Amino acid sequence: MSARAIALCGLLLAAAAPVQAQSLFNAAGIGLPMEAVDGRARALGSLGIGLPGVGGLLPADPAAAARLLVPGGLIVAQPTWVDLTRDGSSDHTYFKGSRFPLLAAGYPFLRGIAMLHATSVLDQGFRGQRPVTVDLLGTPSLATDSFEQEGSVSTLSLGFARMVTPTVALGVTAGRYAGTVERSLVRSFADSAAAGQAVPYASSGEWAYHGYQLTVGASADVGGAFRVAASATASTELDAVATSVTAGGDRSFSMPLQLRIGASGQLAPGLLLSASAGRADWSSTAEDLGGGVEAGSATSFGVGLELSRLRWLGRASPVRVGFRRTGLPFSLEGEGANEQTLSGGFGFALNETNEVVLASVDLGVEKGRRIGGSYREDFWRGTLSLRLLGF
Amino acid sequence: MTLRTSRGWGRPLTVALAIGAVAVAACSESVPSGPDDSQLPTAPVTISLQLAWDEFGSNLQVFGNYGRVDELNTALVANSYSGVEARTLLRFDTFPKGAEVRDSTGSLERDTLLTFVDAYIVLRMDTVASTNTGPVALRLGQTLERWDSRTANWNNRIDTLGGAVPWSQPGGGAVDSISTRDWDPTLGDSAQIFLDSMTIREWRTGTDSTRSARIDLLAGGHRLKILGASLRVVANSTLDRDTALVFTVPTTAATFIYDPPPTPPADGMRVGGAPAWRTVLDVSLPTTLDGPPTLCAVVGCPFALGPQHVTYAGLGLRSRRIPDAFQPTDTVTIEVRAVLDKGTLPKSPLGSSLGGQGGTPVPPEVFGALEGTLVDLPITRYVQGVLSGPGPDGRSPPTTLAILATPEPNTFTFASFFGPGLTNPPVLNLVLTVSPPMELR
Repeated sequence: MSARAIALCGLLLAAAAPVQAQSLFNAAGIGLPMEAVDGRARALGSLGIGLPGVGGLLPADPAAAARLLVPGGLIVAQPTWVDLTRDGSSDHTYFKGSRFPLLAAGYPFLRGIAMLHATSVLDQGFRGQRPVTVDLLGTPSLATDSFEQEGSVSTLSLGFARMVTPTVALGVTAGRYAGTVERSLVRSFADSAAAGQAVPYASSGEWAYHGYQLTVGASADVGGAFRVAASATASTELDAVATSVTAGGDRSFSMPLQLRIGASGQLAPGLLLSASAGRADWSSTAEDLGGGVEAGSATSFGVGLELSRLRWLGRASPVRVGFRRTGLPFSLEGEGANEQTLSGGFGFALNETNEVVLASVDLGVEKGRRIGGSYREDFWRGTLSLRLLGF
Repeated sequence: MTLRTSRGWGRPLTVALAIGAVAVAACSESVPSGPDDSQLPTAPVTISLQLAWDEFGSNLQVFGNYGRVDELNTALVANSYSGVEARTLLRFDTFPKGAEVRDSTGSLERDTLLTFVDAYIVLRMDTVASTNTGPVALRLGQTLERWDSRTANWNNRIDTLGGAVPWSQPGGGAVDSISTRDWDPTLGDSAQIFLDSMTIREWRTGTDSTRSARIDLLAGGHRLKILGASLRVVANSTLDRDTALVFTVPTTAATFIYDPPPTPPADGMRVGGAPAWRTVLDVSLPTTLDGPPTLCAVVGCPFALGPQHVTYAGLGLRSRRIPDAFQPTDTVTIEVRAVLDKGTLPKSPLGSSLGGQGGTPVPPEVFGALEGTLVDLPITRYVQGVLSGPGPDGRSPPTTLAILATPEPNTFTFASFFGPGLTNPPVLNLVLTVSPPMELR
């Protein structure tokens, strides 16, 4: 293994896909599910499965890596700008954030490809405030409850993919859930309360996540112009273990079986159509959450077009558009929630050898909305990925 | 086969960096904030409790004699004011030996043959703290006995340990009267009392002990607070007869003596005065609470009281009316401090103020017309510390507290509060904030 490969693996392990908050829907249920896809898949409205190409390192399509004949690496960054509104109110709340939802690497091993993924699974960060009036020594006084939850669930997975026939590939990854969540509530009192001598009250807890998941997938090239793929992810329960200084208890949450299918085909030379869909039933997770949390099956699908023969500055620069609708398992008000985006983007080859792209960046830009009950988030989301091959 | 490889990385890298800048643009995070509190955990409950004296306090004691009268930067004269007599003693430095004077030719020369033609003492009064609204007579007299400004009191001119020397007669001994002067607060806040020529000569040439004066208030039923006293002398120069020189002679000692001295209170609490009083008490905090119902409804009872639950803690004292003679005329600043070595009381060192910098200001009228006013002295951090138990060094916080007026001494007057066993005994006011343990959803 070359020094560059070792360095990339080190980067993967060190970064471990830190997640930053990007939606108020993080507050719903167990958090907002993340999808670890790259800029190309985002631009195509894809769930990251069934896409052609030699650089498949997306965790949703573990079999695709079998076609990666040389070492490869992928890193994804994702900035988001959100405008939150609520029915019946003209108030706007703006926030933004960046995350690194995916770091991936593949390396030839035993006539196949060994994979390493660090991915975001659930985003849980949010904060809120609640003004209250309390009795301080017989005097009504203003106080503010400030709540903040910081945390996320990630996975670190190892996998292997291999061509079992010239057109069919199988892949499997096994991963471990990791991450922490910290919840803190601080009640602070107005300066005028108790002659300014009232001390803030704080209550907090921290939990560490543990659990395992297994993803298996298959993909096949059909007729030389079509690719079909399917994958499934099964998990053990996601255990949240309270730290020693936390008064709250441990929790365990069922994680749903996630099923995905995807296909793509050349409609004409240089014109690719892709489609993908996924489904997961979160009702068991909702039962574990209790407290009236409702959730059911979340279905997602997306379609997109890619013009792959375009060139810019003398280099391959495919252009993509897509549409995608994602069912969100949890809502802030018990009703169904979904996310819908229109997307576009392009790729740019940084280094080509014999028309094989060895280094490229892909940018996907989504204009979307997330709706659940009376809450609505309009957002712009960028997904930028850097892919390296043959290092 | 010929490999066709793209050329250099410069331009592509520029494109990549430009795209990367888009990602960096949102790197300054702002966490999503909900427009309402629907996703927040159960609200904590904040309730106020009041512990009776028997539930937290014991061994209340009042100690006196902290500081000296002469440490005050003010003085007092009183004549039968609520049964109190007070007189001010002053001692002055030597007269100037010479001065730089321009002679008839205009050149500057030192004149050591000054002729002192006049002298007077200027008293600057506190018109608010003084009780008279019209003119009252003040008398300036020359003391005839040596006195020690640090220990002099009504009965003794020197009162060191084991070496008390009484005045020839209580109240500053006999004096040679110098002059009298009326002071009318409606005309100004200063009074000038002139020295006669014989006294001027005697003070100019005599020993230090001769330049000593006593101020008496002749008008009965009043008390005057003196903010400052200085001796001014007027001299003529031998170099230029037309030149009159005015000098201020420094005051080397100033104190006041009064009678009767306040006796230790039979009950209740006292702080302040000169010398100052302190009130000391032991504190024992309950570690579990069985009420009130609002608390038990939230967290169940008995409730284990922890430091994190204490939002506020304060000693609640009810003010007590003080004899008019000792009633404060200005804001009294009261502090609570930990007694660091109870075994050495009353000389135990004290910790820093438990209520933060500055103490608690208390208006003077609560010790008069507004008797019974609740004065709350914050000790929140102290209570949290006691409930936390021993620190990392294994030492527990002191369980004895001292209540005092600061700076000490600051004024002749003092503050008083109802003590245990009386109506309105001390209480410990607590504000507690509690919530169920933080859970994950």
